[in-house]
Amino acid sequence: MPDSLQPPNWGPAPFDDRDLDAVLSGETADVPDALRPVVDTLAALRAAPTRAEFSGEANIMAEFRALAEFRALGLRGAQHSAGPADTLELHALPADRGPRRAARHRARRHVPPVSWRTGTLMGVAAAVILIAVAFFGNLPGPILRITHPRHVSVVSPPSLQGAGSKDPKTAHATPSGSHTTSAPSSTWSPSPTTSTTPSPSELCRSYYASFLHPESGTAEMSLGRKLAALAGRADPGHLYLFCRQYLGHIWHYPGTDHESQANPGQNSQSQTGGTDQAAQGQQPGSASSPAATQSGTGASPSTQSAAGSGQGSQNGGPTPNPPSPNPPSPVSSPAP
Amino acid sequence: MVGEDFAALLAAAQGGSDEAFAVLWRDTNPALLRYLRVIAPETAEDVAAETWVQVVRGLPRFTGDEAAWRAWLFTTARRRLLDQARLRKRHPAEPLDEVSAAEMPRTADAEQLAMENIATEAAMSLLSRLPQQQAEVIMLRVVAGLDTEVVADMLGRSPGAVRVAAHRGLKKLATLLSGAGVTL
Repeated sequence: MPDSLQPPNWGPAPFDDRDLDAVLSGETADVPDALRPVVDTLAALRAAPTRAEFSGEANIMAEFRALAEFRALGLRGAQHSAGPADTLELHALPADRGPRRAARHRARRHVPPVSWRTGTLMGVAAAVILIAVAFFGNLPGPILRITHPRHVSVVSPPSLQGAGSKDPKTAHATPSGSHTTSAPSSTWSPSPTTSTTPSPSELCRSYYASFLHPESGTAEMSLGRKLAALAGRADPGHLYLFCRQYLGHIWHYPGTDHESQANPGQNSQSQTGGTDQAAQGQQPGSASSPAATQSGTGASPSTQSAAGSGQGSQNGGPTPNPPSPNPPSPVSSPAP
Repeated sequence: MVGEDFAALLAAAQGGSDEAFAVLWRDTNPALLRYLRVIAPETAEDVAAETWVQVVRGLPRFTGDEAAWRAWLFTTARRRLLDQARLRKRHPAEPLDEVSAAEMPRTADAEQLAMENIATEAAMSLLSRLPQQQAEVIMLRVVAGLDTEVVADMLGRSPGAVRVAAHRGLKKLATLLSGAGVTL
């Protein structure tokens, strides 16, 4: 049995780390023979360059000249886009500015959803509307005024509502018939321009036109009631005097020609619809007053004045006096 | 190696002298190509070109001696190499046609080349048979002429680990050469 377990060819290492360091450093004078092939191999790696290794010189020199020209011209920013970008040099922030704010991401730029407060308000409003509809069978006045401003504002006076008028304008004025006379002020439009109540002149015109068609007796009666409500009294003479204020410029009276010529502007004023405007600008409260309209006794001072002015004409037929240039509306505020 | 004239050549190249830059390029480009051919033989030329483009752009801002110049050049090449590797990993190249084994170009192996004639190509082929880290360390030490500390800084390893890797590579190279029955 051999004394040593080492194989017979094993011996001391032919070279050590110092020899390897010498080979790497190129100091190959004292290297062992075992490292001689390695030294020769590394020498081959350091051999003179071949022609193939200079093949790319033209390209890189062209790149160098181009960049040198750009730099000479001061166009430092004109870099080629094909290659990788240079390192972006960022200016250092001063220490007292604190940490840099985090970059905003596109994902954070979303439309904010409806806040819970807005949603709650919308829900409460919808619930109120539903409850109001359930209790009253219709939208409340303020909401209806918002949603249908014209429909709310066209409620006619209670005297006209109950007349069963066949006038399309009047019918339009009471679309649903749900507006009772108990609360006229809440449903009466404050704007005179939006009222569709037939003007006194139209009522008068229709009333006297109905005389030409005797077959429409019911229409005549209804128009008479309306006019009576406006004029304050139902007798034909009073209605005539009342309508004369509005239709006097149409009616021709043989005895009034000279007076009309003496005051030509008065008729022209009434022709321009000033009376209609005066009638449309009537005070809602006085016009829709049930006491004034239902009594038919001329309780309104204006109607009293109208009746008073017509008293003489009732006695003496058609008055020679022309209509007032600004005839007092039967529903206007009382004169002082 | 350029030697004592390096500072003047660098200053001239930074001033726009293409002759000075050509001297620098001719001095270092062969070593760069050999290093890249051992580490990444498929993309050596492309990476070398990209490396020089980047060096040209950064040349006016470079300061240092010749060792720093070579370290900068090879560090840039190594980073370009890693970028190329990442790019190929994301967009792998697809072979155009299948090539049969009979049509493949036949090249002599490293031992045969070493027996016929020791040439640079044969030495690079022999070195490429080493583990990549050992081959890289040897190439950076021998071909690039960088010392252990610089190589360790480039590779992100300790100088001792670099030294050990270099020694192991040389031993393996010696084993390969002795196994081929060749004494170079």
